[in-house]
Amino acid sequence: MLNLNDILNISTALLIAWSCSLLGVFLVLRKMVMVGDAISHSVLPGVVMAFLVGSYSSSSFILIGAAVFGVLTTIIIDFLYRKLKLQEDASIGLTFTWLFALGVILITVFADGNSHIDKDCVLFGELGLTFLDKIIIGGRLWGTKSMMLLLPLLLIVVVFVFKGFKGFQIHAFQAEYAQTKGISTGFWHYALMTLVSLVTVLSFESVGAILVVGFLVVPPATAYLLTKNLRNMLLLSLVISTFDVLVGYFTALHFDLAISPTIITVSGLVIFLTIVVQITNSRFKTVV
Amino acid sequence: MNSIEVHNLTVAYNQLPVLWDVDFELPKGQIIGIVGPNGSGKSTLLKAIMGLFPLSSGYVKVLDSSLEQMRSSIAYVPQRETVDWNFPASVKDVVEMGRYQPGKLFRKLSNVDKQLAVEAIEKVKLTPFMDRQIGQLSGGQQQRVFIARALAQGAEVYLMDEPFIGVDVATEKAIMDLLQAMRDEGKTIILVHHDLQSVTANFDYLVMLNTRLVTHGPIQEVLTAENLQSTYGGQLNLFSQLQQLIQTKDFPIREKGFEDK
Repeated sequence: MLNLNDILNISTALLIAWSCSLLGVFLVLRKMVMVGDAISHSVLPGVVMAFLVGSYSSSSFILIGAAVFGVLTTIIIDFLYRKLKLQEDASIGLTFTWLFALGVILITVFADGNSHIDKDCVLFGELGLTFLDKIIIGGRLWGTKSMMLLLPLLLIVVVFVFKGFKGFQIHAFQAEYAQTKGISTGFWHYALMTLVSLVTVLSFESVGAILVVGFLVVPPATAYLLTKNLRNMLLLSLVISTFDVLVGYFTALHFDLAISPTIITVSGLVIFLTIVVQITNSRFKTVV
Repeated sequence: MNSIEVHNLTVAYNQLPVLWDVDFELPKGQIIGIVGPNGSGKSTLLKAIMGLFPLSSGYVKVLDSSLEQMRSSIAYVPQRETVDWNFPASVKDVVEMGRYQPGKLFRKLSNVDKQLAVEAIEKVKLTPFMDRQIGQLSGGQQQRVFIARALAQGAEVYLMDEPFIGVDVATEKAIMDLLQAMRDEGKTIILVHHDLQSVTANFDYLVMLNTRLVTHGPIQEVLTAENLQSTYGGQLNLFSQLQQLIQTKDFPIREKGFEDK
């Protein structure tokens, strides 16, 4: 039976999945998915430093720390790739592993034994534990602490993506052309990178640094295969990620599996099925 | 009034000059070709005019004002290869981008904007393909989408980077007719072109470039064997260079450039 904690967990997973799948659409179209991966890892030192400066409860510190390191990551990658002419994938691999290693060292040295932040949690997350931080005001349950951060962030992402649709669209399609029209490509680039940083850091404790990329990539990639219209791609990405989360969660519950890996596995199966259906369909068409 | 003025323009890439001290003024209402061999800086010149490259020196004027003031009056049509044609966008989506303006990106397009996009699509005869995804168009149609986008912007000056690359002869003719119709409405079309054969028939004015400006002027005046030699000379092999030299100058007994000293 579905109990209260399940509902809280599912809500958390959906909030993450929706934010990720909207932003992921533009990462996929800009061929920057691996930069998203890099950001999800290299925000770690920012998080730990913010954690050391403030306390975990002052989440604004953590968000600022993450945003700074997320944007810094893209700046370092750009610098290595464009200025020093290092290969792009080498620049990405170099930057995020280095920053992530730094973060892990910071954790082991300064925050070891602390219940709120540890290595395994950062890497893998545990969706099944997020319900522990319940917020109860006046005897009524309002949600969990991570939901209180994820919900406003989702709203920001939704407003930015749908109100600023034209900016993200023209920038993803042809940044150079946008520039000739006097559009600030830097603004749209760093807007996307900042949002990705914020989403990934808030996803840490739930899905971890490794699997958040799955949320960023797989539903948008599935949607990309299914539609040739950007607005539909965004909407479809939301629908697919919702399906992935629900099916994944209940599968995990039924077989007693880790939740977020099951969700990603399901989303992998969904895109695999999509591809199979498309191939057989096109075969069918060419035969007929 | 000039469409484009470029003065003492030098652009360097990795500290190597791609354009060196280029200086010219171009007239309005003509089809102007920029020609030169590969690597002569043709595309870079367009990008430098559009502010996409930092200038090492010199300055650019568009319609006698700065680029910033004239952004809406100048439209850039990039090379077709620079785009991901699998991008989820229809012909209409792309042409409507011509109406996007900085600072208005958070607002919806007005009906006027949408109407202008539709009219531009009509002008390039792509109306039946309006809702088609751009990847499902032929090369010539894709080029016309870009032209329609520039038209939708309502620009006076059009900078086109190799619009005829990868299109067949019939399409090339269709695009050229379109450009001539635009010219006849008083628009200025400046295009980078690699193929010298089709130049004479269609262009009014020529800029000959090989890192430095070789010459520029009305096509009848500048399209001479000598100018072609100095533009493309570097590409001819040493032997044919020598042949040409012997033909014009007899056997050299002094080094060229020291004749008068």
